[in-house]
Amino acid sequence: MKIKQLYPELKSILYFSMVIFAFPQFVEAIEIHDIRWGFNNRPVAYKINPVTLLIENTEPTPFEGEVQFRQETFRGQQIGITLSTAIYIAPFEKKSLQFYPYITESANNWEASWEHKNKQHVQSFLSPRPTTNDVVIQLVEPDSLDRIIPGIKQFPEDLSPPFPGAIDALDEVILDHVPKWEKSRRTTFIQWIYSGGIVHIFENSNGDLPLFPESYSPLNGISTPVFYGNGVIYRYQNKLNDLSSSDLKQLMARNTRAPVKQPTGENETPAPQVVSSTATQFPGAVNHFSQANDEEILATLTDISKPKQIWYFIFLLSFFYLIIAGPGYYLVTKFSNKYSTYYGVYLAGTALFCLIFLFIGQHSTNRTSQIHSLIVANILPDNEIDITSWASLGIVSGGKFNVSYSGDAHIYSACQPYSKVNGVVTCGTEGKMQVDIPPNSSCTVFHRGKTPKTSFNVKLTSFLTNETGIEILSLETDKDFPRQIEQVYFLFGAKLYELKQEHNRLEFKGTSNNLFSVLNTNPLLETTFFTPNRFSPFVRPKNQKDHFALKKFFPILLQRAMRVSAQEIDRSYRYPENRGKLFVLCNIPDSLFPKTPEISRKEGLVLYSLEVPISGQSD
Amino acid sequence: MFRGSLIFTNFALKKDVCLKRTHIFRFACIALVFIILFSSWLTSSRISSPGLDFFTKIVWLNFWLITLAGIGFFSTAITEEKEEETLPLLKLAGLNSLGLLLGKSTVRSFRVILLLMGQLPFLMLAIALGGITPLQICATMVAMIAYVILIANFSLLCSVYARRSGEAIILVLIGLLILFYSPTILTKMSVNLQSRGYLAANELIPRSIEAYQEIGQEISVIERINIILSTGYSGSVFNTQVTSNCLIGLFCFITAWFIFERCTVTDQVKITKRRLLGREQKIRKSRPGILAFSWKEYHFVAGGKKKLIIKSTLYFSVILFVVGGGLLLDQYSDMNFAFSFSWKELMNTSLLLMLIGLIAECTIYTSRLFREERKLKMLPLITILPHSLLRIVYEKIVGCMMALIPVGMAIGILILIAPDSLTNFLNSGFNSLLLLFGIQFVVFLHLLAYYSLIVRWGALAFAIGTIILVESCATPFLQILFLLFHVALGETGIILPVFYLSLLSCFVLQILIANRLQKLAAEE
Repeated sequence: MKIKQLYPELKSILYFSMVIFAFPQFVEAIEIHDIRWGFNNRPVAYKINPVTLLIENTEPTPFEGEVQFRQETFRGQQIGITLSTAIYIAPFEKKSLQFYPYITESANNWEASWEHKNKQHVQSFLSPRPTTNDVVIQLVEPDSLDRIIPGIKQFPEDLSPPFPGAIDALDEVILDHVPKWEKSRRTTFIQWIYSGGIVHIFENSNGDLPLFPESYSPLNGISTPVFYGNGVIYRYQNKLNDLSSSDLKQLMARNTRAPVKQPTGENETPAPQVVSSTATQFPGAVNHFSQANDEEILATLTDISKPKQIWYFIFLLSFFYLIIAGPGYYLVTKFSNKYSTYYGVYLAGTALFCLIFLFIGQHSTNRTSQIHSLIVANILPDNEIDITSWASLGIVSGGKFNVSYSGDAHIYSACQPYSKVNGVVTCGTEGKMQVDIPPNSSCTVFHRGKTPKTSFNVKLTSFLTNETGIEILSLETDKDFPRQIEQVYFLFGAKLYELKQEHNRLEFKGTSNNLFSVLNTNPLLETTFFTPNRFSPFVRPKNQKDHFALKKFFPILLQRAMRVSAQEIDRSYRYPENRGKLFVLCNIPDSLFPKTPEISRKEGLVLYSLEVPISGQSD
Repeated sequence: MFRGSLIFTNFALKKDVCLKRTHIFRFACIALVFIILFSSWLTSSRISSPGLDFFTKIVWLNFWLITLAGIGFFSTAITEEKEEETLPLLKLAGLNSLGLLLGKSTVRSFRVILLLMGQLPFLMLAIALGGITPLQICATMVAMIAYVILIANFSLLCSVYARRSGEAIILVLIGLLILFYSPTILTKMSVNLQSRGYLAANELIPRSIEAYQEIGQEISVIERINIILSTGYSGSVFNTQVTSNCLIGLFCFITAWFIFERCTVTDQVKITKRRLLGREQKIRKSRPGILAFSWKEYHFVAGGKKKLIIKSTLYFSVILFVVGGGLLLDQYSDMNFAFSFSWKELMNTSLLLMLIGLIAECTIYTSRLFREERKLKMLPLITILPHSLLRIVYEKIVGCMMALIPVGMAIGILILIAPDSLTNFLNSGFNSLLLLFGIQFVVFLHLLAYYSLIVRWGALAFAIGTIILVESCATPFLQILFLLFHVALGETGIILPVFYLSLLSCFVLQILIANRLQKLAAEE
């Protein structure tokens, strides 16, 4: 072959024609028309966000199959775990399909893929840069022509996710009508308010406040605000169309989850709020602290469950090998005239260190598979438990594992934004995580779901307060109350009161903590325990992990159970005084661990949170 | 005869051991693996299989470095002797062709294999990090060694066949493209033509392409590594890839041995040089003005007005070919083919192709910036001219930059016709990284210019290798930096220090280039 005979022009034409053919783009039987990221078309960082795809079947035959959704780096490498969902689309029909990925702070490429007629089809999307701000949306009817409020995105109510875990990224909802929802969406919405959502209800176009059916009962209160669990419902005697965008934002900024003045009883009914032109924004003292995100919690759990290896010794040996490989072999050539001696020593040295490192590698690892887990279990009014769990599975032998939890409305994620996880996640009632875990490695699982398992209840038997807070508190527990308890706290006002268990009673013995100081603690930032790995093992071989008990996670679990954001925590934060909240930190029962028959050693803590109404119950 | 052939090999092995730089290079390579191991250990909490992650990084790093070594190191084994005109001297010394091939090429591949083996103890530590088995490590090492044998001997064959190192490098590149990319490209073309109704799936051509792709996958080390690194690998250490690569390597070596005499008998380098000079004399038409060096670079390196016209025509033809061809192809395709290439997509593709062209041209001209002066030993003469070295170098750069006018014009016109193509590119999520890509490309060009003054051939391979190595070492640390400080500093807080560090590197490299130029001028 003579290269000079190939003129550069001809070579270029050949090359470009190959490029054109190499990237085929042709019609798909399935077409994705639209993609909606999160609730306001911008996902929230470090949260599970719903991603909605509008898919059309362009063929006269129905499409039935699985659509997969995965994240990729700009270099085309997959990161995280693949999400999958089954779909049926009738001929020439359009359908919305939702995935629930965990999204971090960076914008990435995402790829939707499906198989049709034995061919793999792929379409890529670029996600918008995620936000860390609160998400406020106006819930509208599908194809609504309502006035668009500048700065507030509209979200069609038919796309509202039917799983509580999928709405975690949503903070506030503006509503001026009754949404037409089936039971699952209705329940999810009510449970979202209970777990900390804020709803702003405005008058409809006729000038009337919407009248909600029985299933939406918390929204029908006459008073404003109505506190429901951690959430709040505000009602306004204004029409959305009558308010300017700035007035609306000003009004909503005043009405947060922790207002300045709290009502002291349920009977106290302040007048519905009306916007005045002189309304000023409340200057809140924002306290900044680093809240641990799911990824950090999981990284810490992985660190705890990792094999306890003698890294300082391994690195010492490595350093020794470096010395041998560099100056060592050079000295051999100086002392020996035969070059074959050098090659002999080189090969022998390599083989010797291979064996040493192989021995260390194989015998310093854990020989038992184990799970470390943390759970926040919010007991809902209908006795269901809203579960948020983090688990790290340390696997010895490797293989394919099915990870699933009991209950329903499951959402899973590996929360791995830096490396690929070989596995597929399906969400919903039958949701599970099928994951391929290499030997001597770990897999992280973040799970949101609901379980109808029997939850416990308590009865307030004695309650007396003075100007500093609670003086006497006694609660009677039922037979379902958890057994292996670590800590029990009762939240009232701005304080956490530590309770002691005596038979079937929980008694306050005089120890209390300030809620602000507990919430303002991030144990993951403690200097003695810090992820990622520290340099200290080199100089201090003593393992700090032994001193880090799982119960130190309590402040993080408390933040999650109360669903308070960093912006909302300041010294004036108080829980509504007509109720208290019981927090029980105990060992996780077997029923709340992931169902993986291959793992026998399980360790973890669950924080139950139960709302205790105070009015009319105390002595 | 065979014993006589081994004398040169023995000599090469002995010389290799005595050289201090061999030991330094080996130490640097093993230390690099240690640094990556350490960074993997630091980030191990964030990754589910840190051992597998570390091992994967090292394997791909080795793969790219071996490939680059094939392009720049193995392919010049014989051509450098041809260019230096030392082959007849070696033959006079009684060395036969087998001895030369063994001494020049096999010793080089042996060196690379030894380097790979030196990393093995640290790779065994991946087991302690978790996620990988000793079998996977051994299988990958064997696959890599087989790949070294293949690429070293294929490059040797190219080196024996080619008259000059440049030709050998191009041949190796073509060979690698055929090995790794042709099955995928042919399959995609076949799928595209099938979907447009030009080909049926059961015809001979698609079936042949399918069979070719299967063979390509069996031979490819990339596929083999992917299989080995999947969880639960329990296959054999030796397989089709290992055997075929070794056999192809052996075949290439034997072929190189047979054609050695025929390809090295006539002194063709001189003929080529004479032909080149003759052509250059014909092209020269205008006279130099004040900027003599810019004039010289424009006419001799960039090719002058004639080449500028050819390139302009070529670039605009490419745009027409892509846009017009895409639209025409859709018009005459099967009716089932409902989706068309949109105007916007075709313009985006054209812009991307033009940007690739710009990068390729910048790379070519930078590598040729000092080549002729160095080859013709003109540097001492240049330094005695009444101009500063700085002015001469910048004049040369200006002259080379004039060669970028056609591609610059093509990009400008594309942006004028479809401004969306630029905004789409900027809004593609890369916006914060564009600055970083840009400055890293500038660092790469500086490195290339510097290496072109250090090595005779393979400066491009060395520059790419250095960038890959620096990226491999820096990325884990940047990742840790990002993990620790992204909350406080934000993304810009991480990107900007890298940007300023790159700027500083450019400055340092410019000083190194100036020093090297002066040193070369003094030596020659």
